[in-house]
Amino acid sequence: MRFFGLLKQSAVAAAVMALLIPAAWAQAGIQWLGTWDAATREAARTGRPILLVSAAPHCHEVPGIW
Amino acid sequence: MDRSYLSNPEVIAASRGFVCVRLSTYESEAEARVLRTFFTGPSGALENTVFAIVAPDGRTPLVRSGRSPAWAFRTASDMAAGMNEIAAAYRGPLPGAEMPYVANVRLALDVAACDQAPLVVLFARDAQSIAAMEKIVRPVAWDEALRGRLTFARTTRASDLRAVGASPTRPEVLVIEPGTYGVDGRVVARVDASNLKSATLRTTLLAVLGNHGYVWKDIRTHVNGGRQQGIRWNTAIPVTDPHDPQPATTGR
Repeated sequence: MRFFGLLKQSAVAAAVMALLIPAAWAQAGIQWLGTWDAATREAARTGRPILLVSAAPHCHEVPGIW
Repeated sequence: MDRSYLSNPEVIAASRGFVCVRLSTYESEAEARVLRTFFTGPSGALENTVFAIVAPDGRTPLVRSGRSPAWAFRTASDMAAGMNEIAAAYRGPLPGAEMPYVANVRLALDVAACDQAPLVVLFARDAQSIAAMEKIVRPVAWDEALRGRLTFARTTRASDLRAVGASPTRPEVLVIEPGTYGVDGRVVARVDASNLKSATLRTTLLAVLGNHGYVWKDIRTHVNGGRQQGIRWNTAIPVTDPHDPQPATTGR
């Protein structure tokens, strides 16, 4: 009985995750400025620190994937 | 890019207190010089990814810089806590004055494809008309329901939109679904500047997002498919990541 209970819990968890992942994607995310110039202007205006990331928008020369 | 940290809800919330900037590595020599001041690999070369948290002066690191947030924070929760602690020391207006543009339409289409986010392009033949549209678009871009879910670009060249099958002649906002590889796309909504209003633009963008599908991209499948189709990205400056087996060529 306990085994089937755990199995049921796993199935429920998997179903919840399947719903959550698209929903999580649909939530607002980090609002990224796209240039260093814009970032330094905004930092100078606001006095706020800068969260900087950089990545290449291609993999093995193929675009469309980080 | 380490999305496990950057898609964490606590980190997203903490990011509100920061000027958040995401650069495309190898697309600007000037930005590459900036990135190298924060982190280079053991060889001294600029590598594919860089992470830093920097003071408002744009120069002083506030945490250990590296290739990803994992170089400074053990977990996403630690990152959020660390960011909140840092932000508490800097009081000032929240960011929101800049349009979150990617540097150009070509790159923005690629970034939009990477993020699987619709691309919003402001087109007009003159800068003043674009500036006029920005007054309406900017608050929508920073809207609570839309922030971080769209990519933005602007152009005064109609030819920049040829890849998505558009030839605009009047000032307008185009909303584009990027193709899988970010080298093409299709226009799914257009708003003429004469009809541009914040409320209706917001509704339009929410509707586009409501119809927007997300497809999991497997790296190997994606790269093999791109190679088979002869799709190749040329970077603006040479790729110098020693871990990249085939550095992309310079130029467009």
